[in-house]
Amino acid sequence: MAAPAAWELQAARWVRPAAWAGGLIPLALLVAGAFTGGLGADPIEYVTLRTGFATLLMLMCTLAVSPVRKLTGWNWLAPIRRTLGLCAFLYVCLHFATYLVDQGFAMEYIVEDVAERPYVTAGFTAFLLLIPLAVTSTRGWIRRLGKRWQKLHRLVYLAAGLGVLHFIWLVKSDLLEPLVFAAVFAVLMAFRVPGLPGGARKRPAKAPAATRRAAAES
Amino acid sequence: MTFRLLFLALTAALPATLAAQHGHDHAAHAHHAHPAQATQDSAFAALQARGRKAMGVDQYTSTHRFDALADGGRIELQRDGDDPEGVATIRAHLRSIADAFSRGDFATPAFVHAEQVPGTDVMAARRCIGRYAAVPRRSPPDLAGGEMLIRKPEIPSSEITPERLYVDRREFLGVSAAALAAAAIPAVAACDTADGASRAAASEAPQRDEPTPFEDVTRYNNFYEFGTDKEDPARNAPRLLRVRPWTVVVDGLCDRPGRYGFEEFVRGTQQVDRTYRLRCVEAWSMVIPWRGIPLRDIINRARPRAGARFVEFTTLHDPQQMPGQRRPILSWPYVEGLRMDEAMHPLTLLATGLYGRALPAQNGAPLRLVVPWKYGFKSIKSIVRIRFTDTQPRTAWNVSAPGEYGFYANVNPDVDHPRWSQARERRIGEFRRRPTLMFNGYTEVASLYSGMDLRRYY
Repeated sequence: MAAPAAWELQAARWVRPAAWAGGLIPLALLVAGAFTGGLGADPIEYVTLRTGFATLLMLMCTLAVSPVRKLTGWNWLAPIRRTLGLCAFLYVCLHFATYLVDQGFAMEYIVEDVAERPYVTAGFTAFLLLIPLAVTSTRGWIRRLGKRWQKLHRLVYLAAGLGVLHFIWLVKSDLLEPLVFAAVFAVLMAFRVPGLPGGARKRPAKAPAATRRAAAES
Repeated sequence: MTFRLLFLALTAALPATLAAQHGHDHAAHAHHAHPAQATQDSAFAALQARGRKAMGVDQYTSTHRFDALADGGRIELQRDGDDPEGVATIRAHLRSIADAFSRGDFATPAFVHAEQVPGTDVMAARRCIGRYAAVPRRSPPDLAGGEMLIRKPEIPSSEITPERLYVDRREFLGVSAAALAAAAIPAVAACDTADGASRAAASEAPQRDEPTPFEDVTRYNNFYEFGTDKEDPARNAPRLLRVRPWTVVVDGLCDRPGRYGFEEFVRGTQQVDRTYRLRCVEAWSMVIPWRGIPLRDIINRARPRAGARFVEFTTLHDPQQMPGQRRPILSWPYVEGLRMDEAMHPLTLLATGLYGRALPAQNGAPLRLVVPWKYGFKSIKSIVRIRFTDTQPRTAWNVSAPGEYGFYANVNPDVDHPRWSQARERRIGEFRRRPTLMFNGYTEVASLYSGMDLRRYY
């Protein structure tokens, strides 16, 4: 692997703060909206839609990091995978909290929703799947779990898939946005299929160490 | 319960009186006088004469039907054969009787029968309410007429006013009979919150129905012709929709079809102000002060034929003005429909305005339907065609997802949409969800669906 260019060393320094800044833009917009009356006639619905959308957006960005790294060789991108993943988790938490507020914390309705309405079941499952990933995102857990860490974190594929399904199943008739997410998700997953261009390849001897280092750096 | 028995006594008394005077065989709750036999009986002839005077219609050739309902009773009077004038007379009579009952005047039955009819004194004492509704032509048999509902009052008697005032006032004051009824059902009230104290409060205080602010009514709309986001219509419709000139076609199975300019369409009609709850299928709701024309006035003007069983409405189809129509989100143009009796119901409105001004574009200018006991998607916007038909119209959402959106689409907290609950709703501007009311609180329409399985016909 070629030694990183000077600009890449620069980039490595600002890439994580930049990812945080970018990832928090949707939240900043919501907060600004709350103070300027920009949340519309039904703020709870608006916040639910926006946080859900932001969650999917962040998940797709998270899933895009590794393929982009592989295609460009920009390994300095590695740290932002965790940043964006944590942003996704932040938004899914806000999304779920808004839902609880929307339901007035009425357990009988929430249980009924989760059990009987497929789109809620899918969304709720995706939320649950993301919890262990957020918890084990720290350096300590990465070290402790070793090889199992990567296996565990493949759950993000399932979570993102369920998130897209959740979106597809909840819209009334205009499937454009959920289908765009589905298409992006499909492309990003294709990179993970061994044998496809850009897909997972048999790792060269050096790769695991590099990956681990990159992960550890984050 | 006691009330039902009293009503049965009254309704049984009417045919019984006839039977006694006439010696003629009667079905239990319906009587149909046969001229050949009836004319031989002078007492019956006298009754007929009084009936003609009081009711303006000949009992020889009209049919009475009496039904006992859970909360009162129903009298249906229909005219045989093809007699629009007779039908009009019957309807006028029933309307005036309903008004009289509502005023506490129960003298007419006594006049017809030349004696105090059992039950009327009880109804008077109980201050029963009469409600009138036209009954459309039914075939077979080929009858048309009106019905009057007699209901025990669910609101304080001091609140009783003539029908139109009653409807409007009740909506404005938020003293909804149905809201009170719902509040009385602990199961429904308990849905509101898990918190014990506020649950008790919810079951005691009737829910208020304050008009939703004009700003929210005009910026939070489902009008997919202008975009699927709630705020798209407010952004796009005012600049894209040309409401003048506007043409409305009235056609199909009617004797007076027509093609009207908008001004011509509303000319000579009586504009009324009605404040209604609007419940969207997405489980939010508003309270909107509409202005408009009772749809039945338009229907009566068109003179529907015997075979007209449904009214179909169509929205403008013009992808130039309506960018949403450039994509197949629904099968354009948007089509909605009502059964004839639903269309003729006094609550059904063709709105031309809200908050005292002309209808804003995003709310369906210049002419939209408002059917307050049905989910909002039934209340079709920007109407260009009203067609009378003998087959159930293929309505837009029903075609798009028949398992999710029925033709009837009556607001019903007990029948969930397959993907979400309909038990509660959020009133725009409020934080906490409130229980959804059967027929959106307009329980007076229940008789339109008596005997129908509302789970099947959702």
